[in-house]
Amino acid sequence: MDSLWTYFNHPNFWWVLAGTTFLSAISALVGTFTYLQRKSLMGDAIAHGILPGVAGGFLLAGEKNALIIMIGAIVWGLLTVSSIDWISRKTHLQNSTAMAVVLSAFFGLGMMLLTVVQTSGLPDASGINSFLFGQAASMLPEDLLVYSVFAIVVAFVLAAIYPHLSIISFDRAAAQSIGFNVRRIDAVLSILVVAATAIGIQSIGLILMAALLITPAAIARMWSSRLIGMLLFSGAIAAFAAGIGAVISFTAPAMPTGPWIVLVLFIFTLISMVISPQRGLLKQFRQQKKNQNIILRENFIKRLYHQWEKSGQTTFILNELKDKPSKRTLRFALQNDWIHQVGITIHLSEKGLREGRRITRAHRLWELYLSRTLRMRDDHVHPSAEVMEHLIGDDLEKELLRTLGYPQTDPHQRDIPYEP
Amino acid sequence: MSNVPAIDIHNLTASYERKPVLWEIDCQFPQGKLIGIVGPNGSGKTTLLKNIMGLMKPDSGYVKIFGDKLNKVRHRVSYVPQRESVDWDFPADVMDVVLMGRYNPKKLFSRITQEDRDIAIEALKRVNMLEFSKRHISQLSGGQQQRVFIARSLAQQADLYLMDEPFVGVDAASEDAILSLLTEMKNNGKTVVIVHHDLQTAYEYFDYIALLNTRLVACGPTEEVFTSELLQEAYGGRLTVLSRIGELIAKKDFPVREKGQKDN
Ligand SMILES: Nc1ncnc2c1ncn2[C@@H]1O[C@H](COP(=O)(O)OP(=O)(O)OP(=O)(O)O)[C@@H](O)[C@H]1O
Ligand SMILES: [Mg+2]
Repeated sequence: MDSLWTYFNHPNFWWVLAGTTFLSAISALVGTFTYLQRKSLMGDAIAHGILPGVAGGFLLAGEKNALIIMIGAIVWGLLTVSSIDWISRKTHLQNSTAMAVVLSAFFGLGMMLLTVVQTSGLPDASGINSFLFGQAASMLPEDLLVYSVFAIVVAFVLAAIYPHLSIISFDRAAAQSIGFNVRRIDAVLSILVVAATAIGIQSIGLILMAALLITPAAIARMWSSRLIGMLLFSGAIAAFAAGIGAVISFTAPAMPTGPWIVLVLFIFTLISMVISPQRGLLKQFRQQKKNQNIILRENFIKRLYHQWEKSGQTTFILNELKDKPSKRTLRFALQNDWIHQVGITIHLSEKGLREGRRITRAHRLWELYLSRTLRMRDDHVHPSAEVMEHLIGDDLEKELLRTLGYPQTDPHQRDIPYEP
Repeated sequence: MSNVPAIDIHNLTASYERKPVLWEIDCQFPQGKLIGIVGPNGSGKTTLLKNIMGLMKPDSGYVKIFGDKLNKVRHRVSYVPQRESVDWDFPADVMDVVLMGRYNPKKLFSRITQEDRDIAIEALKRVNMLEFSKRHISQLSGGQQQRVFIARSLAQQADLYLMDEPFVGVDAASEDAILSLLTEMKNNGKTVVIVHHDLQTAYEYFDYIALLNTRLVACGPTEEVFTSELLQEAYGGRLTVLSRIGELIAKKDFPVREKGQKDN
């Protein structure tokens, strides 16, 4: 514990922690819009494509000067975006192909320049590697100030065109018809992505920057189904992951920061996949379990109804039933007054009869619908109806009745039972 | 209401990748009517609407709206795209989508005001969707999604409404509800243009029809356009539809000529 305190007392620690969390949150906000517009690849292309700008900025400044490197990155980022745009407009290449072409060419060029820097003997030349995978702890307050100024500008622009971005993300045609200039908004978003990428080059690094743009948004979508909630969530997650990355960067300075941040984000993704309220596996599992229970109890009451239909019998001996109901099913049926129990016999109530009739009616209506409307063979309609009978609610039943004209019998010539 | 046509399409030709899909369309839509753009699949209905809304550039010809360039009267026009053209998984609830009708493209840092909210609530009431205002849009039926789109359009408070296939994937009850809303809008002096491909209902729904099949087959009051020759021309060869429509016309005691003379 003692050693951790020494890191906290490091003069730059709090600067770096506050800075990286802020920068990452802003990047994630921009990333949310690219995620929603299905432009996730764009972030990756830009992040890799700006490497020549970073290395070039370093050479130009002759040292690790955050401002000049940042400007180099942004200029080259814009060049990346416009090259991709130009290639996909002038050729028949798909947009993703154009991205791949530009990304690899620029990244290759960047690696060459990087080698030039490393062999240049310039001061800090070895530090250039921190731009590849990030080295939060190596950031000085002056560096952070530069990145933060850009981040504040990005946040300001986001606030200014929030409605513009949200409407074109959802419905471009409507946005355009209202008078939004969608091409200009696209261009502004591209610039924002370039800036959002460039501000993270030192804390996360180029290679993994795309993950910071996209993963928080993808996680946030699992927890929130409104744009504003998604933005807050993705910003918070990115900030948290970056904070952990910064702490690790101080405790283990030899390790790059980017991979840690991405790892934390990945763990969040996994956790969200399991427990998120929207699409979590846990929720799906519960839903399936619930469906299973509904099917079991509806099948139980349907079978009793069928027996009643055949023989008029309403009293059954529990142990003699062909498919004995589970305890849960039995309890549900009793609680809902579908049946009454006296010792080892159960008695089908009026309510249970109605429920059984409803399910049977849904089953037979569906069989008839498949046979008449989809022209399915009569001996093929049963399996589908076995499932659909549990899904067909009042609305759908009415619709079926209307479409089929209140039929009397199903394709197997069994009566379709109506309420007397 | 002035006599300027709501929409004046002048010799319009439009193409995708140089292949024309609309040829020399020339017609006028009067104000204050419920107007159908009718034609088979792929006949260019959506394309025509996009050209009217300036969403694509025609090769030749022009469109005037209320006698003016679109940009001058844009605030008086509202467009409802085909429902399938957007991703309904987008993170927004019903209210969020309707409020988009209140977004102002000219303003930066704009925020939704209470007035915007009231207008959106009013629009939701009119399409009978107020109780769903907090529901996520993916959890709506097709008909409800369509009504949300119409509510967003109403929130724009326009005079001319253009809707692409609002009856597709909508159940009978919703179709009735939407139709009576459109009729009500017309009675309030609005002009409503609907893209539609079902001939049978087209005859019942619209006052005025443009019959389209890559070229303009006919454009005029419904009674004048609904002749078997013209329908045959537009829907060429699809005799089952035509014979059914013939039955319908016969059943409704359709006055082929006399009634047409009351218009214009
Ligand atoms: N983006 C596009 N690129 C190329 N061709 C297109 C494009 N959109 C439509 N087309 C073609 O233009 C023609 C007219 O299409 P349009 O969508 O206007 O028809 P529509 O009448 O609206 O049909 P539907 O009833 O199916 O909606 C069709 O042949 C279609 O294949
Ligand atoms: Mg269409």
